[in-house]
Amino acid sequence: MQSWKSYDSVAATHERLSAGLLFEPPAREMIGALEIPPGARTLDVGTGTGVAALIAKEKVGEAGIVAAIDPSLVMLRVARGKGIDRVVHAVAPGIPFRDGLFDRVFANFVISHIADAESALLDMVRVLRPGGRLGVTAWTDEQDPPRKLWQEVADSFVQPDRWREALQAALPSEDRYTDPVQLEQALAGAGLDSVTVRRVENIMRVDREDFLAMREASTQTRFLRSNLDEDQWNRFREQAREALAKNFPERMEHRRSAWIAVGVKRVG
Amino acid sequence: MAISKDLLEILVCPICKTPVELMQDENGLRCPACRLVYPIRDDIPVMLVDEARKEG
Repeated sequence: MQSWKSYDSVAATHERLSAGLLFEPPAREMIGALEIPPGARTLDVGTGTGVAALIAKEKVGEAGIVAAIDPSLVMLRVARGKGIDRVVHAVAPGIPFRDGLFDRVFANFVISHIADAESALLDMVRVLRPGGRLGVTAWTDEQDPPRKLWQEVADSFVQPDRWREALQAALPSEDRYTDPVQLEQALAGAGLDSVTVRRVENIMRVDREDFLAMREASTQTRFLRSNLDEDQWNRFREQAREALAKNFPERMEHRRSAWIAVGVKRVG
Repeated sequence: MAISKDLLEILVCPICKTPVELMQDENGLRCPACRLVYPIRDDIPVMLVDEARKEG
């Protein structure tokens, strides 16, 4: 994987800020919608630092299983350190488990990263037992004011078509799954019934520096950084910091909304 | 720390879905059908086709 697309370099920031603030609240909603019974066998696809897996672990209890896969070994080590012990370096499609093994399968903000998301979803459904449930999350395309402002500054440093190219490479399915209709169709197309897609909004209170650090751990910024020299990068950070200081208080409100999609694997 | 036994029991080859076997030296997982060996790094099974080596 190209370095700027990999999460290896940002695992620490991801863990300190993004995991708890950005990724955990929607993960909790998704896990809730999956109604995981004690003793269930579950799989977290693209576990990252284990955010959704840890919530599932509370649900399945001692008798259950939480297995987790991710393409980043660095992330998997962090997840294991937090108590997710059945971690496997693997990708979807290519999930290394047999058909119908799991009662619940989930992927928290993962499918937008996968070029062949349809095949990935089919593979997730493959390892699910008939009647089992799949849950996925995806960001909406809404941008709150701080995010919009940050993007404006970033756009002044990199040409728009270069952005598009980069995002296409790192988040090849992002455009599709910001659309709830396409998300619903994708799950139905993968062999799921009773598909529901629900919007949830996460309202965070963050310090300016933490907002910037969270942005810096994002795919977009990793791309930006790889395209700027040291001077440009420092100028960008300064300008972003100044623009935020001019428009928002030190401790600001940051909103991100997401789609929670759940479906049940067809029986027979 | 070794790979947990219950994880070994459910792991299959990502290509052909045949259950994999732990190598005698415990440094890899072997698919008897594809004759590929998947490495184990830092006690984490690496079930990636690109990382597997042909059994020699």
